[in-house]
Amino acid sequence: MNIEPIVALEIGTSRVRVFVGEAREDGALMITAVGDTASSGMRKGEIFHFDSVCACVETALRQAEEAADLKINEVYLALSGSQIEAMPSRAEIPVDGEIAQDDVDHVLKMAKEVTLPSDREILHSIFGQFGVDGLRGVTPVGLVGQTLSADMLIVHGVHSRMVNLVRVVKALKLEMAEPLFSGLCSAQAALSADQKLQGALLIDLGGGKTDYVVYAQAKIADAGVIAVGGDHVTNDVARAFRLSTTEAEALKLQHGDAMVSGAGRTRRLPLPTAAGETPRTAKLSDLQTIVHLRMEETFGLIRTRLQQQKLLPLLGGGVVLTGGGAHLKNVAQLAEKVFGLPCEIGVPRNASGLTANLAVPEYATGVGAVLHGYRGARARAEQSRGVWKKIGNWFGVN
Amino acid sequence: MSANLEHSKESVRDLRCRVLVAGIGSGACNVLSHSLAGWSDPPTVAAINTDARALADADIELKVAIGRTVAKGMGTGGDAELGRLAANEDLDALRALVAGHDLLLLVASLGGGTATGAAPVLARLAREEGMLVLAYVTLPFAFEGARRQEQAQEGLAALKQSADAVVCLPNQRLHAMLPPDTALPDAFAFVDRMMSAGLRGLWTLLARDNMLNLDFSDLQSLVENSGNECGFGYGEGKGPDKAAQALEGLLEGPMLEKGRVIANSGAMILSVAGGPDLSLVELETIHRRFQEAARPGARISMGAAVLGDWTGRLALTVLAAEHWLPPARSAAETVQSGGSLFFDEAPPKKEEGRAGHAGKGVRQSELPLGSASDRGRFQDVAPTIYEGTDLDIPVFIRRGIRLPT
Repeated sequence: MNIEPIVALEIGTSRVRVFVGEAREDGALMITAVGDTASSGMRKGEIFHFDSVCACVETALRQAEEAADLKINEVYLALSGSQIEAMPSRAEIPVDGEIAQDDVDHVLKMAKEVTLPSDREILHSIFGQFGVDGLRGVTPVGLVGQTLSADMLIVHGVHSRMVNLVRVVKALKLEMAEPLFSGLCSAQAALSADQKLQGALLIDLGGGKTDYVVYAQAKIADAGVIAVGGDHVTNDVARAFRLSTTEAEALKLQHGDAMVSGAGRTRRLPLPTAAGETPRTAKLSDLQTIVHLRMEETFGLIRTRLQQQKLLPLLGGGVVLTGGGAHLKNVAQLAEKVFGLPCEIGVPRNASGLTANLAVPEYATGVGAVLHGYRGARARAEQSRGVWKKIGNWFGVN
Repeated sequence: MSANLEHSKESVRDLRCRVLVAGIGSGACNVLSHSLAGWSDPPTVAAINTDARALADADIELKVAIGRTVAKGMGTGGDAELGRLAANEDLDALRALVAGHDLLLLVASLGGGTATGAAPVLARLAREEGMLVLAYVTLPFAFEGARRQEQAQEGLAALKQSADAVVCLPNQRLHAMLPPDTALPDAFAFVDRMMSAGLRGLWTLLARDNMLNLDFSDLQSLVENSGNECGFGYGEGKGPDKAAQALEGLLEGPMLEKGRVIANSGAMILSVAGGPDLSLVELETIHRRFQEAARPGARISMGAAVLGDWTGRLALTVLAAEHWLPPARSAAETVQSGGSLFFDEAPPKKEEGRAGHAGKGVRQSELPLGSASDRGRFQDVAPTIYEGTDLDIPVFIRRGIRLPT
């Protein structure tokens, strides 16, 4: 089985990353090169200056090409922002007697056909489960029944914004393998099979946005983006202490804390001052309060959404945090408090690295995109049997 | 005290060029065309309309035609959706119009297509530009039909979301002030006159070097804490008992529902305009009557202006908050309260970003809350609006928490 190297491109608000993955002899995936550079021209996961974004992507691509010693022609693009959200879709058809493959194809096609507002476009149609006469989670071909149903989750976003990200790929003369929602990629990389089975919430804390993906009852039950990220924390800090963005970012990285501590009330931090200015200090607890409020609000928005969808009780596997924001001190503790569930920091699984240390939360999206591409390529190579299995593997449990 | 007066005057002077009065739709443009006549020191006034002919006829300096593509210069035919699209088509022109102002007084006769659809768009845009937005609207008479009435209610709801405060004058309340045999044109003319009188009162309040000064920060604190709904009343009087006449017209009249609005209000602004003969006793009487009418502890701010040619005349304009939200808590209290900050009961829905325009009226020891710069690095990108809240604005500012402590 010969699989070409898989390349994933992640255009984030704070970093642009390229990951190259190749199959090892034993069939496992190995990340052979990483390109990683600071991003500019992005806000909240979306492009606001096209040319600067292209330049950053080019830098990251060159880094990866050099490290992997190959020419990159095709990429899987992990994208976010774009007001991406998910909605369940269900189709039901009458069947007569034994269910055939044709019936299955038909019901799947119907479940994918949803009406969206004109500015939106489907990014993923994720298969959930089949049902025969109300019995859910069955493999329908060969069964006898009167109705066949299919549940899918339709992930969609604002067309124009997603297209802008895709245009970067085109501008750099690359082929687009597949656009992927970055939250799903992170979930692919960071959630264990057990967590997916038991139900889990993945939150990817990016620089410009926060993705979330919910696995419940062994399938993807919800996904979406909140256009609030680490930049918002920085902006809040800058605003409170009248600092520049760079100064605020440095202060956040060094002393930022998602929980307010008792000791913080007495400890004072020096603030950067221009020459000649009187030195200024800030209370650590003030900084902690600012960060705490912002993170708590963001988690709270997700919690409210999950409550409305009645998904909160189905998350036996707890909460997993990925993305650069997962490095924030005590962020897992805050998430545990907000969701009332155990919480851990997630790092990419199921892939080994050649050089770079891959076990960091900010690599989850990129590695997840490679993993997804790799599984797809392998499935195609194996010519796997049965439509349901192919679809099932896309972001599936395995 | 004298220092305080000085800076008030200064801030008023600053303000003079920074208030923009914008009328949206034919009804409002009409009001503005009429109300300008005879103002000694008029603010910048702009007319915004989809109907090119009505716009050409308006006697207003600045004119912005919107929706030339969607409405083709022909008006919206009463379709609010068309009005909304028209405003969205010309966002840049609207943004250019409001740029450089502090306060937008948005005048609209809700119910019509242009006013109902475009006003919320303009209000939101002006807020994004960091302006304080006070919408000043009428609702249709009942006889104008249920559809118009419904559309007006929808527009009002949208405006409440997007403006800092909405001053609403249901025409039906004025109905009771008219003799039963009033001709239709006279009824509309009366509404227009009431609107212009109110505008004038408000403008006088803010713009002049008054005998008793109110400034932007008074209006701001009313607007921000009003639960974004203000009642509006206007009364006038002539001759020796002019104050009593004006008071009676206001407190017994239908505009404030026979004083019911005052009785329920936690805060109000009174603007008194009179001639050189305006006396202290009259001001005292007015203040006392309102104090008696309002509920205990209500905040009453009063301003008075003396106009040279108003001898023997007195006009009283009232803005009353229909709800009063208590001032924000301090940081320490909030964090130490133990409970989850996020899940506290409904955060006051409107204060985000408008927590203040850092007018000079704000004491220096306090954090000068809020301004366009709150959006910081997100200033130049589309805001993240979640259920009416702009998430780009720092959480602590939206919650009114004073930092640094």
